[in-house]
Amino acid sequence: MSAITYADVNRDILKTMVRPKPAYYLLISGSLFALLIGGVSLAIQTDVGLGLSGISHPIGWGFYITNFVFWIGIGHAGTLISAVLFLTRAPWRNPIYRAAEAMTVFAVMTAGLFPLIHVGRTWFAYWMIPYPNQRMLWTNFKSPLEWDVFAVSTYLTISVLFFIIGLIPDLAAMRDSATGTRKKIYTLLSLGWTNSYQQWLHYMRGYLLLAAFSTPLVFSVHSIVSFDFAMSFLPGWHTTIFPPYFVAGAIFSGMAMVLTIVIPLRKIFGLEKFITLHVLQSSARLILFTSFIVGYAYMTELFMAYYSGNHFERSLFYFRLFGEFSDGAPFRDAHLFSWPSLAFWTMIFCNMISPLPLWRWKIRNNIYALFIISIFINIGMWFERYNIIVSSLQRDFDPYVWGSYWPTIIEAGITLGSFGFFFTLFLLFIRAMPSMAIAELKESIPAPMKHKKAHS
Amino acid sequence: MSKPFKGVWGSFEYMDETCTVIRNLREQGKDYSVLSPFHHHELQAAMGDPQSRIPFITLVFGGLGIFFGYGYPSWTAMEWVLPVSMKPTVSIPAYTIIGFEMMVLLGGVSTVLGILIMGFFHLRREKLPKSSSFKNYSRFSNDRFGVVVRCEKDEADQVEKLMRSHSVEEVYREYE
Repeated sequence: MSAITYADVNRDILKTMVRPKPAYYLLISGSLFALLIGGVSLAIQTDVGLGLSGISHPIGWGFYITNFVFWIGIGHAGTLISAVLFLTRAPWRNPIYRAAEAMTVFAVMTAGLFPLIHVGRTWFAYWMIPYPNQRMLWTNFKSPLEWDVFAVSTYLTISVLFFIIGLIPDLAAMRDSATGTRKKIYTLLSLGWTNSYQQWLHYMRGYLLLAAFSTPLVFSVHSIVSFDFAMSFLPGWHTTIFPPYFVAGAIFSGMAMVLTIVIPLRKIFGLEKFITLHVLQSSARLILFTSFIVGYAYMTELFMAYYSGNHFERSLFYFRLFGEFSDGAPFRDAHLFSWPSLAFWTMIFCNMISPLPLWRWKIRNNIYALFIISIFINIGMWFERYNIIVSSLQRDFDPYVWGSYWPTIIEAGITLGSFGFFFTLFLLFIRAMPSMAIAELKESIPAPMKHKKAHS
Repeated sequence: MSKPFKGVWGSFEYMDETCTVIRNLREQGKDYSVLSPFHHHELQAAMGDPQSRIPFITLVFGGLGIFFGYGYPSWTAMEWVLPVSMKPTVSIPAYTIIGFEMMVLLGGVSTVLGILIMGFFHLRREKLPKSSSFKNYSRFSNDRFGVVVRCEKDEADQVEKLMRSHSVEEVYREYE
């Protein structure tokens, strides 16, 4: 990045906020349309009731909780990039950390909607908060669902604060280059930032502490989400591998989503000289690494189901792999392409096999290949959550309570709407705020020196 | 009413020259401020490695978060006892999660408030020029380093000379 000057950084990044290419309008139109479908679906469900969804006894958790876990996972890469890679001083994070952080905030906001949608009577969601009430009832702090309330709300709060704090110096840069009403707005938003070194001192120390808090937080949140399953006794859920398996999966899916949004962003706004191939390659390496952890977890689950000798676990994993079977005999009457086995094999293909080409340098250097692989991983990780949640509920201990699940068009509409919600927020963000951290990018550029050798 | 700014300010292109000016001003015991488009450890070293009190705020509120995270669930459990099989009424392992999350929440929120409040106090304490030439100078958030020296008129020559000997790009005196 030595050929770039500080002024180039300001000019090129602030340029993303002026009139974009037609591709941008195409993307935001698609996102708004998806959001509209989601909004209409949600309005119908709120009016009629949760009976419009496919969730029913014994499958109490369907698409909505799948979406919740999926979106929480997506958020993790943003915190990983902004906090963990900040603490480990990985310079390749600088061009993509702002976009990744915005992705975290919007993904957690999207995820937060699903428990509210799932409970049906959304207007009573505040019952989950432990507040003094007339009936002297307190929430059960020993329940993983209550832990979720604390974990997700803390994660959202800290992610939003981390994001806002990171924006302040850039808002000041925007204030200084803007005129008229925009200048007034940015002056207000930059909260009196003067670029004084005393401000930088408090800012950097606070930023470091926030990063130090966010690092264990990112590992704790998805571990706690995994406790929703692991603390139960259900076959396929009651397993100690879940916390690291979920965290690795979250980073894996989040990094894939980073590539899904950063590659078009780079192309549409001409940010190739900042988001270099090295940055994309480093992200691809992280994806490859986490893909192996996730693949290892899948195999461990399968092996433990076999090796434990637990009949229920074996039966459930047979069901996940091969679908229905009539009398328990392996491979007999198996419907290889039943819905649960389709979800399982999609997960295996997308999460274990599709990232394998990333071993090759040429593939890691090809943005089209990276984009396609990232889409496969997004699909695979959604199916992983579906596979864990729904198939276990379909096959409980007692065949008397077995059941099947098929999502309704309302659930599909709300799921599509969640993608619309996420992408609309993200696309609006890149038009209103700098999509790359101006101040941090400058740290990567060697400082101009008159006498001694420059170093960054 | 606060006193108006009196002193000299200049903008610099080079980091090493800015650091030399800062070191000289510090040695002379001058009251100065440094402006920079980003954080750089060399500037901090030239200023004598000043420290922030933010970690203290974070520690206090993070500790309060732990206390609250264990204390509140324990109190609610004892206030309305709900015996569930042989499970303990107050379950410390289960409350560890609440304790951790509350530590992060209160620690994180107080850190951000600390940055804003200390930045605000600093803004009031550290007088910067109010002139239009300073207000309209937008390059401190872009590509220039700035040094603002609060000094009397008789010291201005000496400060300006120091800045000029170290490649100052623009220099202004403000005594009106």
